[in-house]
Amino acid sequence: MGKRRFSELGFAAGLIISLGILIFTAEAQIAANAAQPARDDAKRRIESFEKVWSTVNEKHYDPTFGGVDWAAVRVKYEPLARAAKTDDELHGVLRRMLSELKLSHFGIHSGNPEFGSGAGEVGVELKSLRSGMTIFRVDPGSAAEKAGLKPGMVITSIDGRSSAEIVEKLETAIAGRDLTDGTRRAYRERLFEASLGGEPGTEVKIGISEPGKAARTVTVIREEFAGEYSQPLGNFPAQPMKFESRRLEGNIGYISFNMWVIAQMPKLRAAMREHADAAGIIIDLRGNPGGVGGMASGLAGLMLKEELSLGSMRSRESVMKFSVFPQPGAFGGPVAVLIDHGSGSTSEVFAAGLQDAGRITLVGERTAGAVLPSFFEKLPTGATFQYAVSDYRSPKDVLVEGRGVDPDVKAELDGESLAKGVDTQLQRAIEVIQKRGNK
Amino acid sequence: MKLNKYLLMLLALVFSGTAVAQKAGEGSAKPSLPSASEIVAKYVAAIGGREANAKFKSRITTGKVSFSPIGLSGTYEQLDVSPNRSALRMDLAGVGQFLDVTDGGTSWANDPIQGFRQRSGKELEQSKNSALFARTYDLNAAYTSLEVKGIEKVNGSDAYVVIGKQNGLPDDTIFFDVASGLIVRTDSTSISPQGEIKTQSFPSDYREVDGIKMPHKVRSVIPNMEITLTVDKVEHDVAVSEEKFARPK
Repeated sequence: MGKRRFSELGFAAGLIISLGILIFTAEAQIAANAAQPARDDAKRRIESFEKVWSTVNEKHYDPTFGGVDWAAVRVKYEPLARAAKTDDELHGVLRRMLSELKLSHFGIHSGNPEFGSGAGEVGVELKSLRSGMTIFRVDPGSAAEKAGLKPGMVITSIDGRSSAEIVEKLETAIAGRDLTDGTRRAYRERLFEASLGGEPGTEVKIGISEPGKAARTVTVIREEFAGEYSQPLGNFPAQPMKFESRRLEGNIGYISFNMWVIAQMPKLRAAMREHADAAGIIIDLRGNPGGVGGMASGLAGLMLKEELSLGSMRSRESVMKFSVFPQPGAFGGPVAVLIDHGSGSTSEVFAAGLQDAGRITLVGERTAGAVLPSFFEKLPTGATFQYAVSDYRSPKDVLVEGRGVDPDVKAELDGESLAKGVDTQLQRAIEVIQKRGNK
Repeated sequence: MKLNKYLLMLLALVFSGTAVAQKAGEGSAKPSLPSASEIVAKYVAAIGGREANAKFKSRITTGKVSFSPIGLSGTYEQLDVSPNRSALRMDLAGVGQFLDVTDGGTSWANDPIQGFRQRSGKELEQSKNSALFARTYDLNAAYTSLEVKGIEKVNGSDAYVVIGKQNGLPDDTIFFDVASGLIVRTDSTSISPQGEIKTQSFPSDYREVDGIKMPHKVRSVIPNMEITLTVDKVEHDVAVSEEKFARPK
């Protein structure tokens, strides 16, 4: 090894750039795996407070903290942290402290007893629409499918608690956070889904309304997620993976995945190969909250012929680019990408970077506006502390945090169409591909 | 209070002395500093001498790698073959296998996230330079010139600061421990498509292997991150499999 500079260091640094972005995922989504049993202990709680405050003080990408007097924040919250009687209480104090920054990707993941716990789930993806909290997707083979739940159904209650009550409780939990409307909406959806969760084998009674039918209650027996989990990535816990690739009518490839975790990468490569002869490809990033930042470059490399950058990240010490390396056999046909308010972080890097490059057409709604590369660190209490280390700017130098990425073609979902089996946003994306394919 | 004042005065003296030494090092006379060639000669002697190092034709180093504070870890194998070939394989839990190969005039990398890419331009030149087998004991092969800049503290001990210039590439700053002669820190800039990455590396835990001394721990600091390599095993002149340099299919 000698004095060698170690070629692997530049390599490893590149890797870190790849790993840079780790989600704005709602706390409920990663809580199940992040929570660690921890003895209540005042010393560890103070150490945890110190760790969180100091890390932000030393590593926040903006040395001005966006105008927030971070020293004054310490004066305000340290007494509250010292007065905390339990770890949960401390974590609440830390969350409030971090919310002073008014940015995404700063959080404490410790499991929130307010919003259900346990590995059991119903297996639905929800969207907050004009019709109410509406079922958007039902996982094949899930408890929800067995119980007869279908897209377009509106959830009016969970175990006797009305939707309004549930939302009110969730609003209390996210009060004080300066979130974009899109992020707030996505939080409601994710936390509403978490409220459906519980121990496997237990019942949840779900109030349902459907157009033209009487309101009813459906009992669903929660089941453990039967699919594949990603491996933990350092301090970032394993995540359930969902992936779908199919050919739509009109010879259009369709790819959807729930999160940018590395184990999805071989599936993405295989799917892009499968659709090599398609008239176009639709990549569905609706509700995809982000994940490993480098994967945006990885997927982009499968549809580009020339090297480019998806944007840049500025930390206190450096500016790094999201470089894309074209891969052999990259797809050259039209690509439409479906986005909505639940598309966050890495999904936004992918969308903004390729939109600026003119390579894709974005269809749907404005994205979450929650895109900051972040790290996860363990606290002495056992909770996981997430903090942003740089910002993200699109190739046209637009700061996406707090703003989001606008679609080229606006399209909204509506509950009535979903109930009829029609995904209006997907329909628009198909039209876009057909139009571009006919040119 | 008196003690504090005394300490402050002492510190002021120490720092003044260092500043004087640095200034002397920058001047043409450099009366208080050894020459770069003297520093390098002491270093080469400290790692076992040129002959002992030059007799090897290949080396395989295996060990562990960890990334702090994100908690990522794994193993690595670095193969170096004289005169200018290197192949790194790194397996990281939850990520997969990374390959980084420089084979004479070409260099490429392959990873589970971004796939394959061929290096070019300055990045290629830097990779070729890093792959020189002799650069551990023949600094003249690695640098076009070496210039002594002064003395600084590294881990509490005095170290000679030497600037290593490379044709068309960023300089390295190398810190040689005054007492032992060993390299205790290197500041470098890695060129990558993502941008230039400034790195401070701190080799330590030098141990003798087959008659030469090698660091068995290297802590490297990059923006927001520390990477630690620990060596488990070093083997010299083992049979080199060409598969290690083969591009992924």
